[in-house]
Amino acid sequence: MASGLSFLGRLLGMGTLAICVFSSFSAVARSGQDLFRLCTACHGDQGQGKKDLGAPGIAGMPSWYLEKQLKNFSSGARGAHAKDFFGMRMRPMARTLRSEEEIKKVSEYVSKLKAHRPDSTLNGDVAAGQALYNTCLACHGPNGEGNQAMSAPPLLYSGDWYLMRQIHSFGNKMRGADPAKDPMGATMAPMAGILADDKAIEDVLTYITTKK
Amino acid sequence: MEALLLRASSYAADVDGVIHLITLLAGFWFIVAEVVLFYFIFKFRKKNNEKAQYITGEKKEEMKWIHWPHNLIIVCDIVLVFFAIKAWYHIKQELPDPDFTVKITGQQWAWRMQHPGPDKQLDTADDIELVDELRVVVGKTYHYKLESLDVMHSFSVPVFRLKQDAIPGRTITGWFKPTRTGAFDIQCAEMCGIGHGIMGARIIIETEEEHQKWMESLSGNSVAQAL
Ligand SMILES: [Cu+2]
Repeated sequence: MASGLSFLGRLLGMGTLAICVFSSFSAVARSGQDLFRLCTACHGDQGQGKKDLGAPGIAGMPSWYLEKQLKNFSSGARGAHAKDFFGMRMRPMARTLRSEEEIKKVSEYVSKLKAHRPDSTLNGDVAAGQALYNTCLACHGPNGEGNQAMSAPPLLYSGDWYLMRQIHSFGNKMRGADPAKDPMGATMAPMAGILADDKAIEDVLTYITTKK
Repeated sequence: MEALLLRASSYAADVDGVIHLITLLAGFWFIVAEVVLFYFIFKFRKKNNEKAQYITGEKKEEMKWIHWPHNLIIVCDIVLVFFAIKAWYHIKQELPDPDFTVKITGQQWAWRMQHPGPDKQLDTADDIELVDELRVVVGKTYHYKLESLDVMHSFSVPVFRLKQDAIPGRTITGWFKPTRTGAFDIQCAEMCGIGHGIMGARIIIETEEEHQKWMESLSGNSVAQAL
């Protein structure tokens, strides 16, 4: 019996040790897929986004954009404004990524997920929206496909409600207010001001999201 | 206790006092119980060919081993409860007049700190809002108005020995008085979702001059960039 107990003890000890060693090794090299597991809590298991949680679709967004935003969140260039409720939710999550390497890995992984076109939730005037979109088109492309050269992300995968929130954030100086911290956001901030009111925002977003 | 964690509020020592008392009383009874246990194990070890007996503990001289410690422990409990309620009443029920009031709002997963600006009044245009950073003046009495935007959080400042739940829909008022300068941790002490473990912030306790300088450095920019 005594030898049986000590065998059990040894087994437990070795098991604990093995778990420690294994988890520390896996912590050293977390793959994009490992890192993405945390994102799924809010952004959905496919990165499709969850409107209820205010988490936009991220699947299929270009990795340069995801990378930039994750860096902005972790540096405080985004999501550190006292009124930015959703940004403040994302910020600590971005800060769990321990290195640029990890940011890169998870961004690449997410960019390769199948892009998802969320349903339209707005009901604006498409024709009026099309006229307004002429300004956006220069950077975001005729079909909202985005353009890396202009640092303009695609507009098709996040969800129109998310785009609405971001236009408001840019307008309220919660995002892109400081060109030194977020030069890319700072180019968008004055553009958000072009849209006169919520009606104009709704129109332009309806036009974008109904694009085939 | 101070050796493990600095004290930085006027009532930190009261909380430590209760913890010391609990440790002392529970420690005393632990040692007594262990000594008696091992003494009996030794005394009633296997001897010669004596047969083991089954003791029901109903005889008077057996029952006294239960009754006396029991009564004494109840006395200790009463002492403990008395000092615990005394400390609790001072921290959570009394509300000394404040020099300043701050508003602390928890959300998933950050703390929004609203400071009274140069006019020393909360909810005015010159308020200073920071994320995950609270700046207070040493030696001043503060009221805090604690709110939550989503789920339950708990505002915990270990060096203050302060912990207060934030409940959505309610504004909870409490107080503290910092007693030493420095930068210390704030943490969320109520499970609030996936980011709970990293919902930390800092409290910076500074002198009046430093605080003044900090406010001037913001130069009228009422919504400061945090961190
Ligand atoms: Cu919390």
